[in-house]
Amino acid sequence: MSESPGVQAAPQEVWERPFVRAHQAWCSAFVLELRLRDVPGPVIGERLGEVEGHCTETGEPPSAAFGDPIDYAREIDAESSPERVSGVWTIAALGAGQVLAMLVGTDAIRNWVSGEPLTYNLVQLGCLAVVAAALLCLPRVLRPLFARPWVLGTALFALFAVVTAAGVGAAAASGTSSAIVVPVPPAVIAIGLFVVVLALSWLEYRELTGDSADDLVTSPLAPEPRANTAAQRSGWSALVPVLMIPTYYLAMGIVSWVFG
Amino acid sequence: MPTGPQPSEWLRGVLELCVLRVMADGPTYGYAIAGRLADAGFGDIKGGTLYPLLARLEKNELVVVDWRTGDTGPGRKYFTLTDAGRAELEHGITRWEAFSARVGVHLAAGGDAFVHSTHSSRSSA
Repeated sequence: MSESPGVQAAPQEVWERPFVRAHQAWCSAFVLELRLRDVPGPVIGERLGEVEGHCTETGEPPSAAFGDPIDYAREIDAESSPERVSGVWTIAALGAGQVLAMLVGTDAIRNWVSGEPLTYNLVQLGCLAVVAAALLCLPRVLRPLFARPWVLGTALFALFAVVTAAGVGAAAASGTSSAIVVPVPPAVIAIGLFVVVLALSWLEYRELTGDSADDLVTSPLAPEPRANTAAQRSGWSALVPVLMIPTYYLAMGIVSWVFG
Repeated sequence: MPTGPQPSEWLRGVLELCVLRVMADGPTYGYAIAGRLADAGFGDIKGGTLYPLLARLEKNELVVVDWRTGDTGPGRKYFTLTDAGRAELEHGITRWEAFSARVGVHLAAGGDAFVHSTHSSRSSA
């Protein structure tokens, strides 16, 4: 077999490869585990390329040659270069910031419409802290969620319950005498926090796509003859989660003005 | 001489040295390394055992790697021993020879004592 050293071709995302599609469950679990460890995309692609190359030569499925994908991902990561990207935790922090700004901002819109000052008491502040903590913990619980999908429903229900409890707690406590008046007009808070939400959305978009060309899970193996549309899609697909909160914020503002 | 698969703990201790020795013959790739080790009687080394070791060699700069495309198959990751890798191999061989000689002496002495003790107890019975 003749071989050409150092042949460089246009990088292709691993999901385009027939081997990965044929062993989707194993490869997805492997990639997810390394992603949650903030391993850069090209490094993940190289590790998956080793698996594909070896399995192609031996004729074994990855589960037979490499065992459990999560265990193997941990083992190969422990032996690899400690290079990391910021990834999951940064996005979780930006998302938590957006949600907090949205909760306070939409409250401020209602007060702006009704002409009352924005007030918070300790219970409400505690509820906001619980919501923020729940959102910041999401990356920690992603791994068990994906490892045991049945847990996903329970966890989402728990998150929903936490958010609901926070809302109910905040509403129940809103009329208490211990409320602290925020010494800033609600209009300023509402508009200011909308700007904050937009800024965080922009940062999140940059995090999701800014380095995407460098952080895609690309394979070092010879590309398959398929159009690589994933990289073109990634910019647009990143817009959806990024625009959700600003859109909700704006919609709540309009609803408050129209029906308030 | 009785032979058979060695305990996996023994192999784990010397696998890195054996892999470095395979690489000393020239650039090679994972599947070929596994084949050479199997031919040498070490049994079937699974990818899940071999590639973390290769990753460690790469991290410690004992090897350099490059991907090569071929006529068949998706491509191969070749490992080439660096000067540091060769030095590590030579150092490892020296240490292994000293260790295995020590173990050999110990087992031979222990074996003599065992044979002597068994012979004595049979004579007295």
